[in-house]
Amino acid sequence: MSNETNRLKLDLSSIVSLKAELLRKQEEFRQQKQAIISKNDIYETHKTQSTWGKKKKSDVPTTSKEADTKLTEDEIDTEDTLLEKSKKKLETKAKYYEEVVSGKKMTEEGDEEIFLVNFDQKVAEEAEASENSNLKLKQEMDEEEYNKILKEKWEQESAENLDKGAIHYQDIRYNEIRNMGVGNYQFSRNEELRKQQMEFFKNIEKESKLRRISNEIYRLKREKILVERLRKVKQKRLLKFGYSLDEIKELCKEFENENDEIDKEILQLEKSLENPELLTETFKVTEETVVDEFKFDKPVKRNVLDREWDKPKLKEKIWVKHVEKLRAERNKMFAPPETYESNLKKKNKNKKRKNKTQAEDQIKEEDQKNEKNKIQNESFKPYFTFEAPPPPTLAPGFIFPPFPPFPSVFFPFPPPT
Amino acid sequence: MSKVAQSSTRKVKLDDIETLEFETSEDVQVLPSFDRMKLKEELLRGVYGYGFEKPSAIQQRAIVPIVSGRDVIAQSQSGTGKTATFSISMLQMVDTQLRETQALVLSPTRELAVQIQQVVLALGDFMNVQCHACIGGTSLGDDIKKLDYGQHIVSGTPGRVIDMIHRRHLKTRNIKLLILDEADEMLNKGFKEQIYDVYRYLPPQTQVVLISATLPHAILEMTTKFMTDPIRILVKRDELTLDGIKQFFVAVEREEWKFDTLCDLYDTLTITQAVIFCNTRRKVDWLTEKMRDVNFTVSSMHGDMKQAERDAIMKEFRSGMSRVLITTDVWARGIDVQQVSLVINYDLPNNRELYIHRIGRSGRFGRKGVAINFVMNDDIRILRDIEQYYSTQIDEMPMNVADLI
Repeated sequence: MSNETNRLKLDLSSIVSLKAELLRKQEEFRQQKQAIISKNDIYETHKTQSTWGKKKKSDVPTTSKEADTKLTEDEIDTEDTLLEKSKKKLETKAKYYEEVVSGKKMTEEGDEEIFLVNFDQKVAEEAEASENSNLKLKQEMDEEEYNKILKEKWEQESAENLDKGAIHYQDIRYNEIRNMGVGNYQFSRNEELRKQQMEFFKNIEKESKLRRISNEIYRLKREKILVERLRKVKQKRLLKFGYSLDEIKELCKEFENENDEIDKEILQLEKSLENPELLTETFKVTEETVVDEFKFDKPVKRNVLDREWDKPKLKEKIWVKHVEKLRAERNKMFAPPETYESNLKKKNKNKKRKNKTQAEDQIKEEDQKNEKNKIQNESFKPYFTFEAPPPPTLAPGFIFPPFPPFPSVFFPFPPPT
Repeated sequence: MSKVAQSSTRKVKLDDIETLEFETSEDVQVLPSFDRMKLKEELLRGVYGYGFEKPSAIQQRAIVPIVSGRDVIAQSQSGTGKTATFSISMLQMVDTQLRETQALVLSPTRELAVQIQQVVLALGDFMNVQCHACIGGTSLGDDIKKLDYGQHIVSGTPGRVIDMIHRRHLKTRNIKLLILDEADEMLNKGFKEQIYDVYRYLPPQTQVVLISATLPHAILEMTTKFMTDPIRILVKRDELTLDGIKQFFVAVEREEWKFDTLCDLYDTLTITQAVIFCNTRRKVDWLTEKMRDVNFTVSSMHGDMKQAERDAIMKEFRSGMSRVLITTDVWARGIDVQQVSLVINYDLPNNRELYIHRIGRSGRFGRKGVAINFVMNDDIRILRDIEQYYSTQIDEMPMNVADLI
């Protein structure tokens, strides 16, 4: 017995620490379990909506992997109440959240601290996610359907183009995939809006030019100050070396010259600031240091009969021949009286002599050379012998451009071989 | 005796022509920036807005002489900014206050004419320039309406342009610049007479500009007939292929196997966008149908289609709505779709020039490109000839071809 009491005594001292240890273990286990359960809860919430529904007590051990570990009823009870509590909290949060999303309730400033959730952010995230899914939907939306919409859009656009006066790039782009430059701007297809946008651009451009010039003026003024300072330094140093004032003035002349030049530049820039029309020219001169002399700046001189394909244009007076032909076909009854004809002939001859040009001389020479062609061309004989007046748009001495005949007319000269 | 003499002189003449060499003019100036070309400010803004920062080689050389009024023959590799070269020049020369046609561009296909209109309007966006695409297959009434409204620049195909000149809706009085895009094609047998027809109605001594990636000797020879002392900017043919475009071939024993090869390549085709060339319209239709039968998505285009349909297909391809286009040589020249990185010659082209133009649909303005030629056993000789002619390299297609796109 003494042994027993002894043992009891011994136990008594250690029993407290044992109890403490037990409690600690129990607590640890409880926490572990809670974690596991709450984890399972999350799974459940995602799988089914019934998570918030009541669970039977027996469910708890089966859903958790710790089902085989022995737990006292009490412990389970306390855990359940805790769970219940947190579930309720979550439910209220969910309810609140839903109300916020649906717009029934506004979030308040204190909310964040009460619920530990930033609902505004949550709502924003949700919205973004749904937008993304919308986009995905659009991408996955029946490709055919999407294409159909595009095609309809194109048809509508090209129909609109027919009625539009001015056509611009945006009217005929039709969703073409093309990498454009950074400076690219998609103007509106609406003419009014387009004009406004264009105006806006012009204004921006003008402003940036003005700003560039005023920046330049600012820079020049600072340079002037710097030059002035340099001059003073040099003066001082020269004084130290014992130069006379006149000598110093002579030696510092280069600074003054520099200053004068800067002054001139500033004056010029300020002038262009006042007169915006001068802007483009003045600025280009200052920006582009030396523009290359173009090799091709001289105007191109071409001789009238340089090109083989041009010769018929001068030789075969298409329009004249055409009128002659028409007159030949005309019933004489409808022709003007012969006296008129002969008078006109004289007049024309006089006029022609006055207007004779080098080109015509050339043509005549050519004509004489190629008499064979002439004979061919005379196969249809004009009824009237005088030459028809040239069309109104003529340059003096030239039949130019050949006035287009009616499409059915046959041309007397052969096409090139 | 006389006969012998005659024949010998003729021979000498022939020799002369054959040995006559055309080289780049000596006095061509190189301007390394747009700023230094003295362009209008509005135009310059459009140029930068379009994505050009530094002028390409041809732009550095050709813009200034064109603007100065010289006749110019300009050649440069595919996708190096030729269209922009003459568009910028035209825009610089046009007086927008004068609401009359001052420049005329002729191109071989309607799609190209429309594309040029787009480029001109894009570059001239800040200038408020008016440019009309005068092409066949569209309503005459609409054409007339647009021309009567007043167009500074007309970009068109020869047939409709002549028609509009005859009807006097396209007034030639103020035209001071004629541009022949894809000039070698325009001066070929099929087009030459039409070009001459248009030329007859232009003022004598109109400034003429020829532009193309390929300018065969025969074409250069005939330029004297309608050009005066032109500035030439030419590229030697061994420098005509771009390093950025890798060229391969796939050898097949039988024609039917081409189709299987194409199906195998389909995944590669759709990485970005691809163009498949056949030699005939019927074959385009046949291949399209066959591809669709096995559930591949492809679109197709050729000259037998109505213009409205062609337009729609172009828009779909340009917008990326369709990714694979089966077509004929109507698409070989000039068409610029940035995303095209793969060209397949289902049939080898009928001449060397077309080969350059076809593979040039990929690798636009410095981008990478791949060209794959399907060759039957006999064809490989033709391909080797092309390879030698342009001093380029056409290897057998590697397995990892998709990595190159």
